[in-house]
Amino acid sequence: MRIFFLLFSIWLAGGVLADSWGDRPDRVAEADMKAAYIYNFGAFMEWPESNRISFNICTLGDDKIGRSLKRYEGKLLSNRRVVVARLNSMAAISDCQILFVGENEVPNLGRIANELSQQSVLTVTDAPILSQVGVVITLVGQRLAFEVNLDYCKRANLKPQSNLLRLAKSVRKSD
Amino acid sequence: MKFAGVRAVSVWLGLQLLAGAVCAESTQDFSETPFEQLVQRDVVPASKLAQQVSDSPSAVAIVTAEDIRAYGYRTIADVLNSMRGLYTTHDYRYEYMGGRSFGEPGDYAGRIMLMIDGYATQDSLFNQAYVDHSGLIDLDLVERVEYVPGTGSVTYGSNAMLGIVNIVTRQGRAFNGTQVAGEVFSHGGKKERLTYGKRFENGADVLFSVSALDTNGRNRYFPAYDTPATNNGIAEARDWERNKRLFGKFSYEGLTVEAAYVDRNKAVPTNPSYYAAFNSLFAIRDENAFLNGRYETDLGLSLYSSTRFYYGQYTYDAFREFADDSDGEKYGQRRFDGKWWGLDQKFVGNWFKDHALVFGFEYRNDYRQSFNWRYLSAAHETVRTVQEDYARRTFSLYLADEIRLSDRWSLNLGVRYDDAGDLAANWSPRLAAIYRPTVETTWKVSYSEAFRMPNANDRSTYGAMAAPEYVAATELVLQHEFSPRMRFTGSLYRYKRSRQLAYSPVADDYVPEGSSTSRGLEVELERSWESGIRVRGSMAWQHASDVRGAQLANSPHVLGKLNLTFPIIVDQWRVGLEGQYLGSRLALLQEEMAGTVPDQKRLGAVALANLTLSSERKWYGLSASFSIRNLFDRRYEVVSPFDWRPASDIPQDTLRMDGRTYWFQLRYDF
Repeated sequence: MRIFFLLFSIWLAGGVLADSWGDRPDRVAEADMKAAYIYNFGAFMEWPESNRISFNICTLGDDKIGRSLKRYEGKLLSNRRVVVARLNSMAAISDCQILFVGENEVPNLGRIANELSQQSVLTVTDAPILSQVGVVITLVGQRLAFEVNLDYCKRANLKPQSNLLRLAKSVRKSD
Repeated sequence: MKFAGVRAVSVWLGLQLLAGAVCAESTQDFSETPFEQLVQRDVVPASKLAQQVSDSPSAVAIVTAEDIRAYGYRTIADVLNSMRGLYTTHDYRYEYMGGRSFGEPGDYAGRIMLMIDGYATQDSLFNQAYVDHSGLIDLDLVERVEYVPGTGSVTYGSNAMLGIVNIVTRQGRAFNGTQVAGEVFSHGGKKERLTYGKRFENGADVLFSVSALDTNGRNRYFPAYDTPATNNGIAEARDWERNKRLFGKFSYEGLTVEAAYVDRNKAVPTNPSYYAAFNSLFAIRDENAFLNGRYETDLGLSLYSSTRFYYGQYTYDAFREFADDSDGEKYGQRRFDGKWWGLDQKFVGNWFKDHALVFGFEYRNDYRQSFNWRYLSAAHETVRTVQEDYARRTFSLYLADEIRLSDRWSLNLGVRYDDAGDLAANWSPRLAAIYRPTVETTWKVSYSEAFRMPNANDRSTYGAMAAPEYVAATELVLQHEFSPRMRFTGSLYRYKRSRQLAYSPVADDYVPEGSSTSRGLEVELERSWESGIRVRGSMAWQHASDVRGAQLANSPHVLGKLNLTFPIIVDQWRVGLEGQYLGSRLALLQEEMAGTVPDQKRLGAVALANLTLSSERKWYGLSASFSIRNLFDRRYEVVSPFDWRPASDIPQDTLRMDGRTYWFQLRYDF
């Protein structure tokens, strides 16, 4: 009985907590928004012809964003079903269309770039290293912004739509 | 009664479900929202505080390498002492862990699992978790320590009964070169360490470290031996300690090979038994080593595989002198030996949208569990030997599923099956529900069962009565992030232990029929500032009973921790201030002797403070740390493992601990 009473009061307290701090339905966690950005990068990119049946969005070294991405599984991108893969190694990265590289794997970015070479894989990260990836997502104040590396996209045979470039904070282009 | 807690939790769950259904489910799926609108929306930034790595549904406590440096921690015991609801007890042999429902002297630390990078380090004889200088790892090589309270048998099987300590070691790249370190500390202590760490262009990472510690200790006074015949209670020069450690790690692509070795020699000033002579040499040696190889890879996009092979060994040596050698036996020598290996194959399958399936098997072979007692005459000739040998093979299967029900609700279901050759097979289940009503708030409720097989020492001591013991745990956890830099954690738990060994006057033996209950509440608040200030405070209230229904010995009702660290002198130095409150607790019930009645002493509460000053920057590769432990020189005692009286008839139910001590470390990187 006592434990029930305790649980009940905690439930009540939890309700109060949720009301006072949490009742802002438009609040979105950083990881959830990054997942939404990544999904949109897929939508605003022109992908080369492929005979794959699925559109693979992968994460490497960041489980949180991988979890958030899961809710986009089964949606259609480039007329293909989205599959989300939370990878733990570099073994399967060339099967991805989008590869998000988390903080833990940032030291391996050079090797990832080598491995992918000129394959059409869009690499995304949230570390400020635009030179080695296609897109960098950054937190600016309370909002997310992103930068696009056109040189990378060109090498990977990816064409970002003008809408995407318009929304980007900056676009890197060597010529 | 047994299921009262579970029932209460299910009622609570029902209420929460109802509440969840009433609130409109806000969707976090933005596939239909125009990108133009998304970039205009504010986000709740991810927490800047250390996040748990393990996916356990309990209230994990974390200490990082930064904390280790800031508070001058030197052993895992120091780290554990700073964590919510934990404390350690020293008896001049080992440092033992205490926490929810455990900590009774003489228990060793065998119901806790201590893991280094996924390898369970406990020996196969006593299942002791070595957290002092007999432990396997130098703290300078530790990236983080996570304490997962509660049961873990669903993942790790036997022994992960009341808690799991997860140690994650640093990468070679964290050192990126060579580091030499020298330490001096109170009571004639010194330590040297050499570490080399490097990450190579091709991604290979190497870490190698060697260290040696040597301390004289001090003359210790024991009131129970304060007679002229026993040196007026002073154990002279019987407190020294030495250890040597080796650690190596190599990782490349998905392969990690890791090995560690520790050899610790310690003189013990206390008298280990009624028959041993006080102030004579009682030396113990603990040698622990392991080799752990792991290969991780993705088999396609939806299947991850982790294959692990491990080998471990443990040796215990002890030498003691008996007070009475009229039977021709003057010295006792013990040599205990354990060797084991195992194979673990784990898969994570992400084939289904809202499921993450973890499954696999483990085979463990404890092929050597050997006890040898040798008794020597005054002339050091062997008079008598006793040899006992045991072995065990365990085969286990496990399966867990993380189910995402909605953006707010997820379930975590799992079960592990363990079959040891000499025991009936056992199932360990866990059910957990996780509820996130908002971005900042997480509720976790879980019910789990765990068990512990009798170890070789139990089999040797209790014979046929040695049997598995069990615990059923119910826990409710609330985590709330007030901001990315401020987090509250609360936990309410109830453990019901059963089939514990308890003395039965009818059988005149220990029988596995005891049960006990523990419950408690823990709260913690953690905050950091951009300027480098970090503060963490916690309180734990617990009520743990033993198999007699009385309050568990050495289990304080209240534990408090406060840790504060901040930079000083234009961020050149850092101060780490630590306060620890250990509430009053009971000593062991003292055995009835001729002319005395059994009695049990209550030790008063004690508050201790530690202060550390450490350099934040390196000058020409040099950096340093200086610590004062027990800053206010408090005289205090802890519960001893002894429940018998020596000839003086004075009980030795408590042990006096050190007053103020100093420690200085100088490091040079090149």
